[in-house]
Order: sequence, then structure tokens, then C-alpha cells
Amino acid sequence: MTLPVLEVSGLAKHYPVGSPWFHRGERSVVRAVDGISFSIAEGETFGLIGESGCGKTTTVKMLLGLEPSTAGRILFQGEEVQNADAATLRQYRAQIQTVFQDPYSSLSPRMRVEEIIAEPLITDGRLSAADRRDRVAELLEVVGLPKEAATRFPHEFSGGQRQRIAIARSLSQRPRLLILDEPVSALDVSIRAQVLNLLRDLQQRLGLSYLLISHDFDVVAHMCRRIAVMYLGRIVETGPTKIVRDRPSHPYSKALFSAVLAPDPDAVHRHIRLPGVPPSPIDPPSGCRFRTRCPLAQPLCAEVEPQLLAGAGGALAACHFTERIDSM
Amino acid sequence: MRPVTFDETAVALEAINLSVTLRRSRDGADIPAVNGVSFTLYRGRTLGIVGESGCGKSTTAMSLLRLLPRTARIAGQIRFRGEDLLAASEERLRAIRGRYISMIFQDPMVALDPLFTIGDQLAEPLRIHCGLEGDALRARQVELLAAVGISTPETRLTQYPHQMSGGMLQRIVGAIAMSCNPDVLIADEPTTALDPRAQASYLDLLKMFGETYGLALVMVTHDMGVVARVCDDVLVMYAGQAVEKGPVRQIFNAPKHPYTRALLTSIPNGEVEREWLPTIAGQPPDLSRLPPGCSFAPRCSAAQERCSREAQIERVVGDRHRARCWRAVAP
Amino acid sequence: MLSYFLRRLGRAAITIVAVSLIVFVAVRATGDPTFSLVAEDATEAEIAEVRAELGLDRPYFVQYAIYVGDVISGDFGTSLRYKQPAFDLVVQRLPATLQLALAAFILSTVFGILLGILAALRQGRWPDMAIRAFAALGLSAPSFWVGILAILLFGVMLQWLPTSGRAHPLSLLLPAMTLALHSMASIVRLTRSAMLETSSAEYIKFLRSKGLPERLIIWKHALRNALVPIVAILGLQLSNLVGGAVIIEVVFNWPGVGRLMIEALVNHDFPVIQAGVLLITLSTVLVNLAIDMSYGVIDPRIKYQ
Repeated sequence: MTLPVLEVSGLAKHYPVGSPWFHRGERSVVRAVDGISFSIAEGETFGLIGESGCGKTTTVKMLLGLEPSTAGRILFQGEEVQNADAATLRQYRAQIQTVFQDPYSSLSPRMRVEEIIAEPLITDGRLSAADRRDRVAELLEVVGLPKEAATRFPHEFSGGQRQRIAIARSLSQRPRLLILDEPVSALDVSIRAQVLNLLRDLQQRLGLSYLLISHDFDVVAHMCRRIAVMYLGRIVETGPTKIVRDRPSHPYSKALFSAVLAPDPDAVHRHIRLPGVPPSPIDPPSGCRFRTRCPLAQPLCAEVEPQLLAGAGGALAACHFTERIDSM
Repeated sequence: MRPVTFDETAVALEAINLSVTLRRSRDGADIPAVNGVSFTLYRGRTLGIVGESGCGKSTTAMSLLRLLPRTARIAGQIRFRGEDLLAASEERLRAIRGRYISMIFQDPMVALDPLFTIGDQLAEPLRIHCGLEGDALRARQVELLAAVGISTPETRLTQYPHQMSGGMLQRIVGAIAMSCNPDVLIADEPTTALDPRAQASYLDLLKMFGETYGLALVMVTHDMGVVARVCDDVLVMYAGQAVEKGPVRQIFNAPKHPYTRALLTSIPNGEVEREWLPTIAGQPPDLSRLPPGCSFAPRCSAAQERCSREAQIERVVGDRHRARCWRAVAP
Repeated sequence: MLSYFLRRLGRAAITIVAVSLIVFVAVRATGDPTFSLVAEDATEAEIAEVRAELGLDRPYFVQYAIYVGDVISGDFGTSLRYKQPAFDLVVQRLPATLQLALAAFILSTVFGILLGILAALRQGRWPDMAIRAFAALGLSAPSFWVGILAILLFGVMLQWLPTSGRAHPLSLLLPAMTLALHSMASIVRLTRSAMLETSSAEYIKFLRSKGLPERLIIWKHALRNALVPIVAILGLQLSNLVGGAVIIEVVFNWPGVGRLMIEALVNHDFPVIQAGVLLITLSTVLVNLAIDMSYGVIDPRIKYQ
């Protein structure tokens, strides 16, 4: 078996809260991400889903090296990233790129498209000006924009075209992995399909791996063969998309997928409502973090934290009572 | 809040040949944002206005209450309770806004004034339109918050918007909009800014309001999932025109306009790892330079020479089902 | 809240110490006051004697240490010119300066906000044009020039108002208006832009959809939101007013700290300069602190941490 492009194990990020001067006893910490593990294979799209505050954004920041991790390891193509020397780190950062949600604010309005796309190459400094121009032309073609686009400014383009520019920029240093953070949420329906097709086409042609983060479960299902569901800094279920979605083993995944709005007026809805409010990541509940809102919770859930094990549906789920999932 | 008995065939509001011209601030050009749109709202039913950004769906919604920029020009008629709202005085409109027709906006994080408590902002329409004060006002506030599913209404009344989550704020916006038992509720992308689970429960709440209180609901959205979930009727807009309208099942199961068809097939339908999505070529047109003939013709895969020559009129293609395409025919 | 207050107080103390140090060094770096005290034909020995008497023969840091010790025990030094305690001289003049600055502050705030709102409500029409032109003039015209013009117009030509001194109850009016002009102009501009910005906010649209009368939307919601950035610059405006008062006091012969300080500067009367700057800094810092603490009253999102 080939080495995964990215392998994350036990990754955690804790932020201390409150003033460092005026505190009593031990300082509390926000457990934004608390020990998550997953891996992404060559040419694969892996989906990370969950609601606001579940730790997706913090995970991305750690992967990009924008936040140091509190614990755990990030292996990129088999090499440890966190304690690497500066040269390895620079190479790593070039090989993992992002495409963000909002193509209106992620492109600098005062730079021409060619400058935007070539910027990472200039910083990198290995290509000559002429080579950079060639690379920009090549990238514009790859993402399906006309050559003339190079000398224009971002505001002259529509949302979908801007997202193409952002994708071209992310590709300029020939990365292995793209982090797609809600890549089509800000786009119109008719443009979404174009961009999703482009991403799929690029993956096939360049052998890219994707980490896809999205609220839109249909987009996730369309793009990803495997997904992980996060809740309060933990992965609660992970496995093949079809299984996690159609036969979830964890009560939280089940509730999450029950909220999907199918574009079909005859679809049967049985939206599972969760009682209460999401607990604070500062003092997460003992044992299973989901137990305060879980319809299946038992006394055991408060005492023992469940580990990711084969669940009733077939995916890996962190739940003591996964066999009772059908009673929800 | 007591359920209301109502007649589902009772017309709540009727928009006839509505057209809106907006002044584009960039170059001062006149933009025909809405062009001859007609529809009828019935009590207890939900009309979905769908389309992409710039198609005129939000402008249509805002023009129902004449909440448009000063430079906008509106033509046509909006018949409501026997009068034409487009001919009504500003004072008369203020008496209607928030009393008989109310609105819910897209982003709950900015819809409420950050400097005033929830209670204060909920009290405003109750004081102005219903003349409530003192204990009666307070009782009504608590009742409204409870009706939108807020568990500790008394505490929430004294809190400020920044102390609450987006989902909860949108419920409060809903409570404010519902405060005077309106006839019509216009919701402009009400769930776009919410998490999936908050989205689903909010839509259920609006649906419940419509059915229980005989409210005519207008749901402006770009999301076909939202339309399928709550709407009874659908109006599909493209480049300022209604290209297709009809009952929701007919729109989804037998779309007649090529744009509606393309829109429905281009969304990921939940099939895992379907290879390629059908796409609509090109971009929506610049409204200040609309092509002659059918506006969708340049992007339409079935376009013929005639399409770019003659402007399209609405054709009857089924029971209460209309499409603005000469090739669309009744089944 | 209390810890925030204490920390702000600490920061205020640092400001005062820093200002006192800068002034202390500056007055000594601009010339030796000994020469203005001794006779023209004084001998080297006599000069050295006076200098030693004033403590000027020691290194700066020793002088500063002695000065700080004295100030803490309430001794701000003795005026070289008047032979009176410098502190008393400044304190006698302080009420006049504070009265002038405060009057200008109230004038500029009240009229600045009102005119700014008027301009925003009539955006693009003649009241807006006129107010903006007036604000541009107020920002660019130097205050001494405006002062002289005001004296000529209201004092000499129309003879409506007294132009000099502090004797008449109406004496305050001209200097306060002149001093207020610049700060009022900036408040007008800020209020106008803040009002325009809040009036296009989403919550204003939602308020309109609730059927609220326009006056309630403007005076209750838009204004209060616009006040948030305005209050933030009021502290700065006050400091500018106190600084600007120095020139205005000279132009209108207003018997305040400013005029005293100008005299002291000319005479190298350094104990008076030091005491004056210290007391003015102290009052400005305290008023600023009070304004900062009042944010929370307007904006509930502000937490003092």
C-alpha cells in the first residue's frame, strides 16, 4: 500500500482562557480540537463535516502551520511536519494549499490576476520571470480561464471565475493536497457544478488529494468517498460516505444527516431534534461529549469515554450504545 | 398564540406585472432588476421565489413592502386587502409593515440592533401596531419567544444580540416578524447563514407558522432543498423575469423551462461520488445589456434561432403551471 | 471591571511619568535659565553659585530624582520669576483654562453631532453641502487667524461681545467658539459618516420592515449606533482642546494656564513649565479615563477586561 499523503494522529489544540494575571487555581482551557486522527490517500477526497465550533477551522489552521498543535502528529508523505527544519517546513507549506469559501474577499483587489497567481512563486524565488509567466498561462488554461485574464483585476470577474483564479493560485507551486474550505458555498447553483467538475477534473489530471470541509452534505457526498464527523473537538464517526450517511452508527451523525434538505418535495423528513444547547468546549462533559444531548445516553456514557470502534452501521463510531441506533 | 381557521383559496396578496428599475451606483445605469413579474399569495400556502444572485428575487420580495433604495422605480400593482400598495402613502405603508406584512432577513447576526435588548426590539412593533403596554406587553413578549422555541424567554428578553447564537437570533427575528399576527411573511434566504440542523428546524418552524396561523409565506432562496422542504408553489426567476411558475411537484417532477431543468440537474443530488455534474454554460447576463429575445437563450442547450429573435411570453403548460418558453408544451 | 479600571489607572500613571520626564529634559535642553537670573556682568563664580543653588550643576538623572521626590511630597518648586510656589501659580490659573476647554468641548460636541446628523439626513442636498463646506473650513483654518477674525467681526465691527480678558460673563463666548471650531468640524465629519454607515445597516432595514416611524429609527437606533465611534474620539478631542487653549488664551488675553506657560517659556521659568504640563496632563488623562469608562453605558458589547 502506498503511503498516505497526509496522516494525522492524536492532533489536539487547547487554548488557555482568561487573564494570565487574575485567576484562581488552575486556568481553564478551550479544547478546540482534542485528539483527532485521520489520513488522506493519494488522489483521494476526504470530507470533514460538523457544525460551527466543532473544531474544523482549528484543524485546518494546524495543518497549515498557522497554529502550533498542543499534541499529536502530522505526517506529510510519511515525514513529520511539526518538528521539521525550516527547509522541509517551507516545502511542506508549498505542497498543501487552500481554497476558501469567499472568492470576493480572498483575492487582493489591487493585484492583477497574473500577480495573484504568481505571488507564491515570487516568494518561492526559484522560477525566473519568464518561467513564471509561462506557469501563469499554463495555470489559467488548467482552470479554464482565457489567457487574457492574466492582465485583468479580480473585480472584473464573476464569482465562479474568481474561484477559478483562487484555484489557479493554489496550484501554482504544484501542491499535493488542497484544503477546500466551503469551496462552492458562496457560488450560485449553476456555477457550483462548473467548479465541482473542475475540482474533480484537476484531481484526475494532477493526482491531487483534497480535504473538503463543507456544510453542504450533498456536495460532500458528491465529492468524497470517505468522511469524518466532528463534534466538540472529536471525531465521533468516520468511514465510507455512503455508510456514514445512509446507516450512521453514531447518534450525532444520525441527527446531522436527518437535517439534510433533499431537493425532492416527496422526500420523507424525519428531522431528529437534539435537546439542549451545545456544551462549551471549555469544560466538555465527562465521558462521551455528546451525552448531554444524546437520546441514547446511559449512566455509563458519563463515566467512560467511548473510543472509535466498528459501529452498527459498519463505520467507525465512538459510541457505547451504537447497536441501539435504530431506536432513534 | 391560537391557531387560526382559514380558507386555503383565500388570496392574501397579488402582485400584478411588477417591474423594478434600480440605479446602479457604479455607473448610474438603469437596471431592469424585475421585469413584469406576477404572482398570487394564498393564506396558509408558501410561495418559493428561486433563482441565482442578481435574478431579481430579493428585489421582488423587498418591493412588496416598498423597501427599496430611494432611486428605485416600481411599476405594476400590489393588491393587498383591497388596495394597491404601490399607490399607498408612506404613512399607510408604515401601518402595514410589521403589522400585516412582515419580513425576515438573511443574516440574523446583523438583523438586530446590537445596542438594544431583545425585549426592547420585540416590544417596538407590539407598542406601535398593537398598542400593548405594561403587563400585557410583557406577557405577549414571553408568549412569542416561547412560540419560536426559546426555552428561557424571561432571561432572553433582558439580553443583547451578541449574547446569542445565530440560530437563536433568527428565531427572535421570527418572533418579531410574527408579533402582530401578520397576513404575509416574507423570508429572504432566512436559513442561508445557519448550520444545517438549525436550518432544518427553522424551516419546520416557518412551515408550522404558515399552516397554523394561515400565513401566506414567501420564501426567497437559491436552495432547491429549501424549496422542496417548505414550498407549495414555486416561481423560478432568471434575469428579472419569472421563467416558470407552478405547484412544487410539477416544477420538480416535470420542469418545462430549460433553465429550471438545468438548475435541477446541476445540483449534487446526494448520489455518492457521481462522476460529472451537468452544468449550465456561461454566466448570467448583465441586466443592463440583456440579449434580444429570450434572456436564457445564450446559455440554453436547446436554443434555436427563433429564441434569440422573439421575446418569450408565459405559456400555460399545465394546471396553474406556466413557463416562458415557446417550446414548453402542456403534457 | 475593577481590574480593568486599575490597569487603566496604572497606564495613566505611566503616561504622566513619561510626560514629566520629557518636559524635564526638554526645558533643560533648550537653554540654561541661570543666565536670565544673574546680572549681566556676573562673574563665573557667581553664575556657578546660582546654578548650584538651583541644582542645575548635577547630572540630569540626579536632578530628576530630586524633582520626583519633591513632587511626591507636594513641592513643585518655586517660580524663578514670581518667587512663589509654581504649583500655586498653576492652580490659580487652572480653573480659567478648564472653563475654556470644557465650554469648547460642550459646544463642539453638541453642535458637531447635531450638524453631522443634519448633513447625513439631507445627504447630497444643500444643507449637507453647506455643512460639509463649513467643516472643511473649520478643519483647515488656523485657530489664531479665526480668533483674530472673530475679534474684528464681533468685537470691533459689530461690538456684540467682549474680546479680551475674563471679567465679563460673556467673555467666555468668543474664545470658546473659536477653540471649538476645529474639533467641531471633525465631529461633524465623523457623525455624518457614522450616521450614513449605520443607516445602511441591515438592522435599520429590519426596523423599517417592522413599520417603525422614521424618527424612532433615526433618533433611537441610528444615532445611538453612530455615537459609538464618536465617543471614542471625544477623549482625543479634549486633549486637542486643552492644547489648543494655549494659543487661544494668548489671542484673547484669557488668564489661563496657557498664557502662564507661554510667559514661563519666554522667561525659562522651568518649575512653572513643569508644574503646568504635569497638571494639564493629569486632568486630560483623568477625563480620558472617565470617557473610556462610559463606553459600556452606550455599547453593551464592551466588556472591561
